[in-house]
Amino acid sequence: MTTTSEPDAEAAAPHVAATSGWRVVAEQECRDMWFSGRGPLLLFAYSLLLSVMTYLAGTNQVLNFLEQREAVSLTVQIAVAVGVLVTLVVSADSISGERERGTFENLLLSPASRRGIVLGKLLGALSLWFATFAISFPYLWALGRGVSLVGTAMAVGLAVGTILAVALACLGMLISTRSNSNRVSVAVGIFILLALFAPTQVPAGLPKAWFGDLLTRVNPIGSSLHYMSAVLVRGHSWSQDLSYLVSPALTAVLAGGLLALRAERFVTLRAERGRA
Amino acid sequence: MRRLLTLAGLLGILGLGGLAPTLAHAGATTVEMSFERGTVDVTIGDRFTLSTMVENIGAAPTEPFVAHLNVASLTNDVYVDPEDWSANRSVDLPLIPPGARTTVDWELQAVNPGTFDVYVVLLPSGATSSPGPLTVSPPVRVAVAPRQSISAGGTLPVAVAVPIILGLVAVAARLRHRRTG
Repeated sequence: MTTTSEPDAEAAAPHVAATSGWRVVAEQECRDMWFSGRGPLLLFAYSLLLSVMTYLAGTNQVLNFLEQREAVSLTVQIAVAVGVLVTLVVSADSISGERERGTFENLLLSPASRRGIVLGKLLGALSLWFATFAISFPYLWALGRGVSLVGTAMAVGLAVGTILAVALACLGMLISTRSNSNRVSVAVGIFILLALFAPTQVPAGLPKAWFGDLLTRVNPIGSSLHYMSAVLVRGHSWSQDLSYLVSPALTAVLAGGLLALRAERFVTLRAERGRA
Repeated sequence: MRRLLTLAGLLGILGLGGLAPTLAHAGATTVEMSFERGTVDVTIGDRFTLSTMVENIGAAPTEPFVAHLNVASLTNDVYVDPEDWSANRSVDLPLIPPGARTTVDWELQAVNPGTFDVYVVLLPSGATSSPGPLTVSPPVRVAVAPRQSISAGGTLPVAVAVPIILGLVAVAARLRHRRTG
């Protein structure tokens, strides 16, 4: 997806280009995402989903049964879940997609360092997360204005969602670096995401033993959704359930650290032999 | 049938009466049960926690108990399904030594508007337990105020306007991309 820009200028000052390579890659990724129409189209589809959810919450007697805080919490959770889903898919496409399209060689020949390429592509993928979350603001305002929960919902959604988006974007990119096929990396990314989402769909009424709580805590998505629900619905303070954010933070640190440390080895023209 | 059971439960509570700790003899032990508060005022949808203190004031250890939470409406026109109020309404209590006490926390969510009594019953659960008289806590009076829910009229403009604006932006971006190649 990324193409090199102004090679002559960069050749004239290679050390400058190397240090700011991540910025060039990030700019190019954002241009590809937002000016090609792919990003706006994803946002349009995302807004349709939120519109249906918001309208149902306002009209359906079952969803509307309880109270606005439940509806706000549900909308924040959907905003975060779908936002990180698209971020993961875009990041899973980032390296393997370039390899498959045959455009990766150009990028590798640019003065940008391997870490710069990873960081630039990561920022490009994260721009989608921030855009999706910004779209959720009017919906949260419509649902939560009566209970003065809009500010809290936006803040907790942005904070927790950003940690989760970074974690899953790094994970998606890690998968992408190890794959030569775009289809494989995106499929593996979605499979991991679904596997992480599945436990969150266990009915809340079922009794949970210590093992159930442990599963929630180790699952970055489950623990993030639990934390947001505790703050928004149960009125817990931000620090009360902070331990639930260890899992997404740790995933971000481990996956991001691995990408940073092994960038030279992972970001290559072809994935290592024996990999997909 | 449910109403009759609710009424029977309520009569049981009223018979045992008041906010004073309940004394009961279950087998050879004497157990006292009390809540940390007597009334709760909430709005529908609010979650709250009630703590029940179970104290063995007898001279011998208690037998095993199951503590069971129940919710009863004080008005006839409100149907109460206690499972909606609390997901975990039964808790196994361990043996309590003489003079010792244990606390059980119940997480509840007010899902109906109205006035309700919440109470706990201790059921002997040991293998040799006899089906003697049950220990019932004093009730906690829960007043649940209704809340104005989300209005469809308030959400409709946002639900329609945002996709239209984003759809136009997406089409414009697509056309611009095609034009510039």
